[in-house]
Amino acid sequence: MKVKLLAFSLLSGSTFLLVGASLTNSASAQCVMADVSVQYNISGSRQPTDRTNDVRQDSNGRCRGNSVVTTGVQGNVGGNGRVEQRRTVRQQINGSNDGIGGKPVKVRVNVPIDVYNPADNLRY
Amino acid sequence: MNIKKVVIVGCCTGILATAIALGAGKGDRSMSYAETEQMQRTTISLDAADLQEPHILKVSTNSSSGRLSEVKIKVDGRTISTAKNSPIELNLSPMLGRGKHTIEILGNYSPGDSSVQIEFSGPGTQVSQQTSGNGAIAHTIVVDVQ
Repeated sequence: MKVKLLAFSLLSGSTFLLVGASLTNSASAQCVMADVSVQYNISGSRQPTDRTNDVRQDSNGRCRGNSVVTTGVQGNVGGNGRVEQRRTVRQQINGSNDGIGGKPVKVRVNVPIDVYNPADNLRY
Repeated sequence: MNIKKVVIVGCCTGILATAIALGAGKGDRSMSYAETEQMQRTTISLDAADLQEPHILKVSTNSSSGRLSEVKIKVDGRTISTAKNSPIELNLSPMLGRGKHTIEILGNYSPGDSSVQIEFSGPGTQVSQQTSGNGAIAHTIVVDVQ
């Protein structure tokens, strides 16, 4: 009787394991898309810097275990004329449609800095 | 006899289920690939009188493991330098007169997670651009000489 019970338990447990394994996705890290940038201008110009930071982060399908990271620093020190800063970033992750993974985590950071320095207007 | 059969079937099913459960967590079945592109453009103005002094364009990598390759420097569309080694230093003052000039720096660097520094400096002015992440250099500096 005990052996029968044991066999039945084994069979039931195995069935649960099979069903569980086929229905559950394994734990996995999602993909990350990150862009971090600093744009600064320290000059004798009182005009604000004409500045753009155009970042596009595209993704297709589900994805895991991949990352895209770009960084940029764009700066000007000195002078007293108008300054223009343009930055363009395109990031793309193409995943798969097998149901594993998820949508990428998207991070964007841009720090614009303008500092007026009157000393730049002095000519010796 | 029946009990023996049940035990054997139970054990086999158990082994199979364990193998499947372990296999499900291994191997990257989700193939993915990534692409990136980054461009930077800075426009400044310069006093024509300052062009009597050198204006140095410097291209370098920030880490000892970083390497530049096939870096091309163009001024107003004309290639003035094709270099393979880091750092690159050029005096651009002789190529700049009154008017607007476009300086393009194109090329590659490796590894992709190192960074590239581009500096254009002269008396009283310093433009810098730094990039990392994709292995490609695409920088433009527009100088308006007045």
